[in-house]
Amino acid sequence: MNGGLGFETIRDDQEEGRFRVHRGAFTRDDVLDLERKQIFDRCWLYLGHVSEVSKKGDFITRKVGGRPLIFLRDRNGKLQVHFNACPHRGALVCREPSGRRRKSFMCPYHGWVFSDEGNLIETPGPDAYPETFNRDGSLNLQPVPKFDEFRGFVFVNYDAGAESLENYLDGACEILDLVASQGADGMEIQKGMQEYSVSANWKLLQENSADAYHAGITHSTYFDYIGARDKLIDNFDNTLSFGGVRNLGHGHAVSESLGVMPWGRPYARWIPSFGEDAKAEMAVIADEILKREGKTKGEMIVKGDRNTLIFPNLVINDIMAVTVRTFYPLRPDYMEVNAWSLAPINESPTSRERRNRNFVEFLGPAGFATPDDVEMLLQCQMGYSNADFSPWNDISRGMTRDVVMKSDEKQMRTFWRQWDKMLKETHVGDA
Amino acid sequence: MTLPTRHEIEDFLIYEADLIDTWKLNEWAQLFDDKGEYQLPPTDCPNGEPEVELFLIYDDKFRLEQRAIRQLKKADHSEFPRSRVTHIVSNVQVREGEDDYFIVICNVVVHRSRLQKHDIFPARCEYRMLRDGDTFTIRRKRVILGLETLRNQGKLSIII
Ligand code: FES
Ligand SMILES: [Fe+2]
Repeated sequence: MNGGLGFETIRDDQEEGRFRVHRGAFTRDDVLDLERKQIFDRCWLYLGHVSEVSKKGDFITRKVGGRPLIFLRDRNGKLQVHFNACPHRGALVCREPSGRRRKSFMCPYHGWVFSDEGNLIETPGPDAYPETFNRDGSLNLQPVPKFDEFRGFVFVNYDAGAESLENYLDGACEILDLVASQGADGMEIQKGMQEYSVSANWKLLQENSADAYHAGITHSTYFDYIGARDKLIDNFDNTLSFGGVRNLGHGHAVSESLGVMPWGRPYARWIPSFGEDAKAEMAVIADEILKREGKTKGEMIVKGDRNTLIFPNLVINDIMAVTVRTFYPLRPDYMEVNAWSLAPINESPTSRERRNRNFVEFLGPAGFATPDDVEMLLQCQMGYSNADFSPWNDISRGMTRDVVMKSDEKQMRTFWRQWDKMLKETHVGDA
Repeated sequence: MTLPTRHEIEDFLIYEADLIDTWKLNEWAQLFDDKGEYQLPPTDCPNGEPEVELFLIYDDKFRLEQRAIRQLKKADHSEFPRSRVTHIVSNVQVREGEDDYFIVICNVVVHRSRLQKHDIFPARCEYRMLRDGDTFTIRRKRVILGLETLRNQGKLSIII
């Protein structure tokens, strides 16, 4: 069984302690076609955060799973997600990336007007259509089959028969809850979106985003930088042989540690370069969280560093700041990446400033680390041109260890096992 | 304060561009004064402020010096082997500033060639500068990309 692909996608040998992925999984068009159908059209995909449409009439447009959507809060305060395509002859009804105070959307082509709830409310020119026109609602903006929210994170699903979001998120609910609990007044997506791309297969970024094994090598220049700055790095084990990895179910996984990473966290791990003045404020921040959430969960929030993979294409990295990152393949060797900063609502200006500075020291297309990740993904993709003669990726690290460490590859095996299962699943109605 | 002439400023900007294009990045970092900053707003919020919006680059003097040091290392993988970088500087304006600095605005087009890929970064640069004897120092350089997103370029691993 290999989903009709005609090649063995993964080799999962638990006895030998070897886990391999065939490099064809990163290069072949037929794999991507199958991924679209079996994975992206069946999984819950991250759309956005409620804070992006916090007031009635707020809207954003965004492509999710390759499809342009309008995400808005209607006049009654209800969230709506419509396909951004005119039921008349198909034009994008909304062309702006975001806006406010909008009660209706006029298609720019022939002027059909749709309410925020998606209903067709006007067609210019009288008497052209019979009374029965749109009685069945088929000329309204079409809603996505499913969408739902968990702790402010909004997801869509293109499969009307999909299980509930909370079931799907499974153990990842805990992680989303931890980041959502940082701010006493909730969390918001900050202005300043990172829209870039990588000329590599999308699954390479999912692997990379929680791969602690590469950190000390790929990002040695980043660690040099914080070493020169804070002089805190001498006892840091740059092989990251600590912490752990948890399988969160449904292909989700987290690579985590508590209090050992050498960078600062605005919520709330002080480092010398934050300055003496910041110490007192950060102590108050930590204290508030510990009081509000209790010691165990509170310490997870203020001391924990977590790189979380939510299947198939969402990353929540709670490290030197919180980044929300999602990506989608346009071709087997090209993906679009969108990333944001998630920050506490009503954070003080001083803390927000620390967060902004800290975020981009590592993260983002001009940070001290992300460009090197992008480079490594490119290098891998180039190497896969040799797949006919050098066909396997090895993802066995830590497979035979009883206690898995942060720098092991269990999170990737978790991803790949789910990927392989979903790719090969047959569904009712499939030919 | 008497403003420098456009000609004087152009000489300085051409010198800066040359340092970047020839990878004399430590020398480039020393063009900034002690309070020097190097900033690049996000593509979706070009008029933002870095305390509020998430910038792509938000360097103080220490970080911009470290950026130069990092880019000169072999382990800066994103620039190994190094890009060929070509700055074209144009549309220079010199304006009154506040406090002790004056303002320079210019457009740049930066070409970057590496791994058979040619990227173009058009930008408007806004400087806060100070006179320093017969030359100038940079208090702040803000690079506002003339790009809607970084989709075509993928990343920004050179200095603009
Ligand atoms: S395509 Fe929208 S009104 Fe015709
Ligand atoms: Fe990385």
